[in-house]
Amino acid sequence: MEGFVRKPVSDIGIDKTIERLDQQKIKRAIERVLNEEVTVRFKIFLETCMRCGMCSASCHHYLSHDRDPSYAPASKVKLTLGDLVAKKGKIEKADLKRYARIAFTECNLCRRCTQFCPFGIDIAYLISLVRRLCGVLGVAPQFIQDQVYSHMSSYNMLWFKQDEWIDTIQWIENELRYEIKNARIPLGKKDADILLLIHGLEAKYMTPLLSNMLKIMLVSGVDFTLPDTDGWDYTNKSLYMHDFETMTLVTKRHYEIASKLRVKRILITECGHAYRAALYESARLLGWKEAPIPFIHAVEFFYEILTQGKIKIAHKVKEKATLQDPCNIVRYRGLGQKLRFIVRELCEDFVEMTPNQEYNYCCSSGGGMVDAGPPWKGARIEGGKVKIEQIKETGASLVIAPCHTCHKGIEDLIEHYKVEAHVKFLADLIAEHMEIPERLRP
Amino acid sequence: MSWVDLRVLEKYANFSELVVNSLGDKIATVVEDEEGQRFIWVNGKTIDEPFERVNLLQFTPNGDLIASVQKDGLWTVWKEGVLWEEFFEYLWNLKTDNSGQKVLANVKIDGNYTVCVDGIPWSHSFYDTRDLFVSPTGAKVATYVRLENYPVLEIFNFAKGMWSLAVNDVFWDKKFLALFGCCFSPKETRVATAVRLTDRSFTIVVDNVCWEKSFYQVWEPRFLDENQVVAPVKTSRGWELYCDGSPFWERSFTQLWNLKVFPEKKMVAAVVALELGKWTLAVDGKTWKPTFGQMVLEPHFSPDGERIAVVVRHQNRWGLVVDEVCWDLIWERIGDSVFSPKGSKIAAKAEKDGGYYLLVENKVLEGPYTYLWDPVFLEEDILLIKGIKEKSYFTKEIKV
Repeated sequence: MEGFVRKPVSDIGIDKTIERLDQQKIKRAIERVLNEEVTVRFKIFLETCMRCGMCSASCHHYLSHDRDPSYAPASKVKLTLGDLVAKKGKIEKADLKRYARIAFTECNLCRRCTQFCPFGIDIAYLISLVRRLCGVLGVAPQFIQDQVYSHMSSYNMLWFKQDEWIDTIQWIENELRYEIKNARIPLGKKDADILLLIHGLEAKYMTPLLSNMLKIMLVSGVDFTLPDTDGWDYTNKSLYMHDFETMTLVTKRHYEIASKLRVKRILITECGHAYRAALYESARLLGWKEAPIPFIHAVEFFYEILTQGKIKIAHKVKEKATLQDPCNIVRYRGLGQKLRFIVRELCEDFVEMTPNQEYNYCCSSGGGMVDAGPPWKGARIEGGKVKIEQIKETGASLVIAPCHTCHKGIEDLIEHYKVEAHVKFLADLIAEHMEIPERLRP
Repeated sequence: MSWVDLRVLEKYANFSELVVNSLGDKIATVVEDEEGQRFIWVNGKTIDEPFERVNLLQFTPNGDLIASVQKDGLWTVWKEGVLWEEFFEYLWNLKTDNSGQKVLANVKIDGNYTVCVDGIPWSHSFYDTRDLFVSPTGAKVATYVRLENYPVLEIFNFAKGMWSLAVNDVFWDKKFLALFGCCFSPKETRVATAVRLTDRSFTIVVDNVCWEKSFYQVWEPRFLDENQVVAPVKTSRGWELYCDGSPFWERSFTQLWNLKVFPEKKMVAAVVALELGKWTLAVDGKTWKPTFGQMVLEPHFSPDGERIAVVVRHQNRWGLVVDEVCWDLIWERIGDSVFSPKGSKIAAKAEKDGGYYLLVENKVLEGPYTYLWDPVFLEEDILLIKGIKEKSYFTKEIKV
């Protein structure tokens, strides 16, 4: 394809899967996705794009690659769906490989471009369709597929076994008692107010973060529980390959647990994609217009317990801090102001990135790029040049990132570009800086 | 009326969720002393020896108290003061049959996983087991089992399938990507489950035999009678109800799930979405008139199958709908419907502004209380309520 020049990257989830496909399978998948699944939006968006180029400079990939036009959002649509339609579906395997590379590793589905399109074309939706087509054919980065296979059978991203979940929480409960007197973490408690779901990584590799979240829950005095069965992990990595079948299976499980326990709300820790899936994509695929039971993000929860005085900040963070606005909670859901309230409560010296809030740039790891694993690390590092420049310009040594993907993505950018800064979650900062009431001290 | 003073629990370092038996004469919890020892506590007194941990404390349907307990780092089952002889690395999913006689759990032994029934582990063990199912009399016990142990990232092996079902210590030879929705036939002779055949195809398996057709997606199946199985399946028309691999209801829906069968009448009720955000119940294919914006939970038949009640959520409030008639949708939380033995009355607990109320036929009869458990009909017109008021547990019989 003219103008599309990339360094070769090997990923068996894409390369080997494509090798095994035959033309009949590809044809059937295209028919399924484009004839049975798409809505009228697809045709309207494709026909409406005037190639005006207004979207180009909105994209961090385009800017980070020295304004290479092949990274412009409109080009990415043209090089994928545009190509597919022009060829009337008669595509070669090499075309499919290019589609997969663009859809999975050169667009984070951050939707910044849509805000600059004079027609409001939802380019992330169009790229998602490419991912769906690839997903139906089983073509996706190997690391994402691994997580999705885990979700299919265990409802968590890391093949965690049922006993490991309960054992982990009870171990954390024991550890918490060094900080919170008689800490107790309810599991499967009926009629609790809040069902807390967590990120799979927090149960396996990031238990100190989970411990901090639980500490905040205990100090705030809210009535909460964790699930005592599969469904405790709110991540839904199948969103990245638009595996609707797994997405809905996972989301259905979360709302089922909530309704079975009769909780009033579901709370998740600091994550972007799962929030978006549960509120939008998966919920609608299941037949809901909105979350059937309130589904709140940690940012909403922290805002609530701070404004209601359920927790108090004892001493503020002194170092200069800046804030990453995660696309899925700020651009998609407007949590920017609540986020700033929390950060100002926490930090003495807060400086904004420019641009920020709904115009903030993606961390370059979103939309599954961080989950695509080591083969694609270089791609997200390259795409993140704009982000690291933004961070450098603030002069901050602390970057607050209330999303697992942003957190990991920015950590890698800081390391690669050798910037003197570190990244923290809100839960870590709040737990470290909040007041522990006398009655809860061991 | 009986009372148990719950203030005594405040002298302990900790206590867990309270559980009560069906007749309400026992209330139990796990209490913890300052040294971190856990005791089982019943009606104001600790009983038996201390344990390192006590999980899953519950009353069986026949009133026995059971729990999983940890001693010297290992786990076993405690039943009314008697421990299973064998101890395990871990024990979870503690369950009983409907009578409460048979006690079972998933267990971990030497790094492998299996099921233990009344203290006797199955002879087969597996790389993993998930979820535990028991038929009404306990004649059949099933669990999902992992038969292959490919390392992480082996996506092409995962795609071959690793999971199966084991029933009474015998595992099916077929391997699937995933299984969900295991259920038993009314007379407990057969077992069905939903399975994922490939990344994008699903079907129903009955006694290790797959339906001939596969589908874009399926949800949990149910037995219509001893032989026939119904299940929601997704086709190019949307969600449809199929029976033994063929269409059963005429129309399709935006969503269809939560099947409930009344076997004696071969009636099927299912929760359906007519369009996005328009939920209702379909009974034998005919949809109810009222629709709800947020949720319709699993339907419940009266004992004679003549009445159906469902919990619904609409405009951020919960309520009950009985035979297409809406009760007041004003509650912040509502329990499942409880039918009287002959089905002439329906009761439920409900909560608003922090207070729990007893509802009978859409009228508030009692409340507010600090907490209420689901009520129990002792007779057609006698209701037992179990609750907490002013830090005391109480039971009360009322005529309705």
